[in-house]
Amino acid sequence: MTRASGAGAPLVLGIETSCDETGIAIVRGRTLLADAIASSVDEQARFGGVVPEIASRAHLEALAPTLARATAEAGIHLADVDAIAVTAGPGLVGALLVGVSAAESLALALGKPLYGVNHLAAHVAVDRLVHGDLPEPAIALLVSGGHTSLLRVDDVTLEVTALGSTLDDAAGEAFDKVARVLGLPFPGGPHIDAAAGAGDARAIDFPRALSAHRDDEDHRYDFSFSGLKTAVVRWLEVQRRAGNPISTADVAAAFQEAVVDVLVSKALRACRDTGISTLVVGGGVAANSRLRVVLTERAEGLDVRVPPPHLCTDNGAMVAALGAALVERGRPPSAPGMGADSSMPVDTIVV
Amino acid sequence: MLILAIDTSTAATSVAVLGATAGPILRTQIDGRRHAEVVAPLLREALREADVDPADIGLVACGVGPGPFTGLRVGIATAIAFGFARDVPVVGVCSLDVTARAAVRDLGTSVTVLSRARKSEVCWASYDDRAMRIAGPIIRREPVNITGACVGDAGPVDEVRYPSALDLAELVVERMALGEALPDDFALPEDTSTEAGQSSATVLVDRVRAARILLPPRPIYLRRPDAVVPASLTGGAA
Ligand SMILES: [Zn+2]
Repeated sequence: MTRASGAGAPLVLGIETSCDETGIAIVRGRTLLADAIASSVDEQARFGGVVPEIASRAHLEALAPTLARATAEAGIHLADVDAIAVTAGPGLVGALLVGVSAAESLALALGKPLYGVNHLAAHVAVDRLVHGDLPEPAIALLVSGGHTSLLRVDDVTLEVTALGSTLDDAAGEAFDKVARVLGLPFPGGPHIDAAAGAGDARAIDFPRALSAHRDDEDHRYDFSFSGLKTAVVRWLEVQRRAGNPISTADVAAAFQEAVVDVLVSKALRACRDTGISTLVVGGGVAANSRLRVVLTERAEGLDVRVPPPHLCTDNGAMVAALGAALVERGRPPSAPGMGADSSMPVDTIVV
Repeated sequence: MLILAIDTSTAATSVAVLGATAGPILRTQIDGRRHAEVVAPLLREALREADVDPADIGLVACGVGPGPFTGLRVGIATAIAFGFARDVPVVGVCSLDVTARAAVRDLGTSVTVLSRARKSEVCWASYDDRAMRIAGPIIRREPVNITGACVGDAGPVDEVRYPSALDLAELVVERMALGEALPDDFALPEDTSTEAGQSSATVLVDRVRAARILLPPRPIYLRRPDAVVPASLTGGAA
């Protein structure tokens, strides 16, 4: 047994509160012992998006029960943990602060080191719980309602570089907005995915932004989804005005195909350009069934790692997984009073 | 019993340790935008000064506002996590009660406590000359029924005062000595005031009105989240 999986592997508690999921998990090295989650998504649904104040209130409400659930599930004594890890950013500041304050206090009360970590690096690190340690360097594609990033990961505990990101909406946001105009519930991703299953993706040709030859220089790895959303809205208006019947399934499928096409094309381009053969995918949109299929179809010869959907969305396991990697590689912990950084840059892995 | 107390309901982050051989320890820093950066270092300092190990703490007390939400939650989350880690009870107290207790003792009169809410609003409550609350807490543009001296951090006040964690700890000890039980109802409704009907905030205010001083460690929000249901989700055009 290696240090990362055996009895000597670090026992780490991870806390995630950057958006609307309160996630508290415990790992021993690469083994997930407990992954407790409380979500305010049902309360958010009626507002068609995440309301920061509702999320922050829900995090505080969920704090003690979720901590209790995680420690009970893992069957450990808190006193035995080797470190506490918490998302310090990026995210909603009021939401982050609930997790950071709790983590600081746990670390102090237990006399354990604290790691305030980057949410994006944590999305990458969670894969080690599923597929084992990530071969480095790797390319990471992170897509959710809050982020759309293409990263080069030389060392998930030390060196992560942004290759590209979205210039406007996050991919998940585009799913939410298109779902809304189609009359589908929030969050849009799963509903569009389900509706698209019965549709014809070739029925409508929606635009692929930043994919033209002229974008190769300046926006080679960047994304843009607001134009696509507008194109869907316009198309619907034209059809309604003409009195044509609208197939929600076809619109969903064609929209989804456009998003997936751009995500996969750019991710594979990054792999080819850099000669890196490992691609790891994370974030809520990584749960999309079409994205998974297209990746497998087009990523010939590459090692494509997509964690199961429940680990792709925000959770405590990703934070604990990164925390364990930090402990294993002997990285220094954060200083007390680190606070939260709502716009934490991706190359800062620990504050 | 050793008590750790925390209040972040105002611009002040106040931390105290009560019951240590070294005597009562109070650490306060005024910075309304940096509670999260300030509270852990203050806690560490206070424990060191009191020569107390975290394992020696038998009860955690926190101010539950009312006050600006983001900072308020920092102190309450800190208290809840500390209590969980050491497996000791966590108790909340209305932060205005804390300010009132000290003000009545020092000034010898009845008082009204005003506390900054946000924009042009204030939270306020009035107290008799034994520091028992007789009105509020309420959030308003202006306080009404001002009784006695006016203290707090939202003008106009006769004297600027912030809730002190040491007064908070002493208030808890006093109430326990009077036989008031610690609240064990951590299972208050999870409703966070987004639906019609009684919200958790309302439940808390009712308890506060019923002269319960010791509360669960939950914010007294006195206000629903600002959130608007978009027209496309209200059953209109889609
Ligand atoms: Zn995320």
